[in-house]
Amino acid sequence: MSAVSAAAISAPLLASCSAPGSASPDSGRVPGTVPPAARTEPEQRGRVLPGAVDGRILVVVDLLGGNDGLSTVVPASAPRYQDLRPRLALPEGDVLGLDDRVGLHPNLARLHARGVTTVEGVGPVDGDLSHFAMAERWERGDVDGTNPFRTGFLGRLADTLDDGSPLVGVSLNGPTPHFVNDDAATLSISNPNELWFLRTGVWDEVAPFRSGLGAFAGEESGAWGDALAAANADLLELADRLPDDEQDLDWESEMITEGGWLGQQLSVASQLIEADLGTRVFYAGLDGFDTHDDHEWRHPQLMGQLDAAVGGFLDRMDDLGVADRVVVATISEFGRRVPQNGAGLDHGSASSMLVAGPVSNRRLGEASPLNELDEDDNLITTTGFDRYLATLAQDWLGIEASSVLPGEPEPLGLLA
Amino acid sequence: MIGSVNRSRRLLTRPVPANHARRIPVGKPDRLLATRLLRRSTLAPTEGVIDQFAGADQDAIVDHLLDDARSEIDRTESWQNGMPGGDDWQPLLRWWVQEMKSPEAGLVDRMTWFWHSHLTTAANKVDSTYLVREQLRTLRSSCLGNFGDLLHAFVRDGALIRYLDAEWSEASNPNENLARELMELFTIGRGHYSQDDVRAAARALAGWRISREEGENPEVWFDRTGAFIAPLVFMGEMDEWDTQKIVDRLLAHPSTAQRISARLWHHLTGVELDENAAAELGAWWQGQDLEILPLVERVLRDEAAVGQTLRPRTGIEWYIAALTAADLEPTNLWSMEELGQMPYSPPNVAGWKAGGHWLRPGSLLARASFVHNVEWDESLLQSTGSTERILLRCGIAEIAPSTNDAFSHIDRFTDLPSEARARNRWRLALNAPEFHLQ
Repeated sequence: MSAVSAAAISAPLLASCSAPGSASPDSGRVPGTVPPAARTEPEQRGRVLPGAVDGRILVVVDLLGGNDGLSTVVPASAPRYQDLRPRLALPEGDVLGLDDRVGLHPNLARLHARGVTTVEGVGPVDGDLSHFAMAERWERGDVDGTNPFRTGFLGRLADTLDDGSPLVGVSLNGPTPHFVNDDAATLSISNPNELWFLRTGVWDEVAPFRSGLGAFAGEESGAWGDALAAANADLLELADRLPDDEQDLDWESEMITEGGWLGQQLSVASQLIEADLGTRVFYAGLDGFDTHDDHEWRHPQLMGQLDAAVGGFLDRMDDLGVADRVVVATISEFGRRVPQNGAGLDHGSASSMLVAGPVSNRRLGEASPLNELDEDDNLITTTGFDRYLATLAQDWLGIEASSVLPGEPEPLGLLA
Repeated sequence: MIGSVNRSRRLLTRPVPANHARRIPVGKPDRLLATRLLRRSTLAPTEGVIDQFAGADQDAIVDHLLDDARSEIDRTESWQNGMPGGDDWQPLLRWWVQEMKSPEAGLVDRMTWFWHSHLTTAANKVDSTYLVREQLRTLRSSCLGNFGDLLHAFVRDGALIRYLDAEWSEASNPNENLARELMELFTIGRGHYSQDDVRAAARALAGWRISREEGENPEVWFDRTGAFIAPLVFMGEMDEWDTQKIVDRLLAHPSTAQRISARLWHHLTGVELDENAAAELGAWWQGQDLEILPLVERVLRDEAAVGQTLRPRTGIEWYIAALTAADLEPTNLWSMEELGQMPYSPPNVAGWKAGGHWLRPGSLLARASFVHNVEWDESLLQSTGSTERILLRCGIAEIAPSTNDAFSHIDRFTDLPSEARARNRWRLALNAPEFHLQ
């Protein structure tokens, strides 16, 4: 996000407007306001590897605020874990055992029953304790803060998988930088009911409005004109391709009553998968993991929502007969401080991720050592998060990791 | 309405100034400057207010806006009495929306919103309508005062203290959230402090508490037993740092004035200042002792900045403008969530990002959905049958030929009853490129 501006403050600004090399009035572009489209040259296009399985879908669930890995994939039997968290450690008897070392949070029973792949020690290189700095690094697939890419990692996946489908990537949690991309059709939905408006043939009065929007879609002048025209064109194309039938959400389902907002988002995802629009990458978000305080009751609630929403979603995938091609993977900007601050946990570094769907019950990555914390008392990274993203891209979607991520991050072998 | 087709033709043939050769004025061409200035300095000017300033020069309009704002500040007591009490958040939120969309809304309302979007807080985490009300009172009464006073009030504000987890922070085991965001977001910005500074500030800020007496309003107090009262190093200086000194130190840092003034400049004009321009503006503002009103005045009197640039309207800016233009009641407050910008419900501590994502298909979809679900007032539809009438109500002073063309599409649906035609004209106007920008 480079600031692109040549504007001075007062009188000199007038001069700079007409200076040679500045935008001409005819273009409608004014110095200092450069629409995003103009800032972004197309990125290098990712590469699909030979032999990639067709039609696989990735659903990323972002645990917003920074999820504590040690409360998710829990080393409950480790004395050091119990020592550092006298109040907040989960008792060994409560966790859902995965092996003789770790167990899942007690509220992840559905996922435990299904079997999940856990990835421990996932974090940045030269990390940062700011939500925004770390969220931006995950968004751009930038493990060490030196990424040259300007698009979002999920946006690049969508661009790579783009086959002209009307909706290759969808954010179910409103607009997100994860999906900043070049040309695949992507959409951000803040509210599932918004899809109602898009359905064609529902209401006669929509037709004249859409016809008028068509004129806006053709205009490409003025400040922001090209961005607006493109957005209107995308909107109309999608309207033409979405199914017309009623697809109201099942508000009584456990997925929504227990899974809350995340359950709603994944319900919409299941509808879009059923509608078969060619969507390959979904982004959903569950907020509230910034547990500086009240960790002991807030975190279990969130784990319960995650379990109900993802468990219910995978059940639907079973019902739709597509379970073999849909994977759900968590991300989170960072983990949390290892020693408790009283009733909560401050910003941390490495954390543990979960992958559910047609994957084995396996432990990947390497647990960060509890007796060797970094200078801020946080878990050290054993597995750069670019390797985790590389795993999702290459092992699951069949996209060559080094074509969508900087460097040569080695996938972890999700399906081995 | 029958006249609408002719009206469109007349719009097309009207002579236009050479420097806007492709734009078609709506109404009299002398409304352009007033429209631009008022759309930037208020949330949504009504047609009547724009008419009042048609033909006036920039300084005259700014004089009026500032006078208006000063007298609004003087009337603090009267609007405070209008704030709904009680424990329910919805009436307070509705009151705020009503204030923003009121025909009398002005600079004070825009600046109150600006500061909320900068010094943001989430109501659900605060979990006390009383504390949110107190904060909103502070925001509105201080929005054009001194930034230093505002910041000092905010680090002692119950809603912010609770939102940023400072309520129980102990110097022996401090919570870093408030200290970090105070530096990263509210003042100096990244690159100007270290993790050691965060730890030191967290200690120095520890001790703020919020009373929890049954049946009494929660009040902020300072618990000296939880405070750190000894010398420590912050920003390279050894001192007995406390809340007052930490905030003063951050206010004295040139980066604070630079970042805040550049952000306000962008908010009001759409121009992102480059580093040199921002540094110059920041230094000037520091010289004004961080007084907000002179800064706003300087921005609004800048002919080039105000006259030429545009930026995307954010979700709430679009919503308030739509309510004002069509005189709609905010019956469904949830609309703001769907439009991506619910007050006191920011996506994260940094508030809402400005910029191009407000024009992506998801945002446009939410806006299109809103105009289809809203209940249109019949008398409004009858009194605004023509496209020009609607555009004037929308505070649009000129349109692109393609916008003009878009309205002509509605006339092709000859079977459409006149009210449905009017509804669709309104829907298109509120989704026109000219309405998405300000």
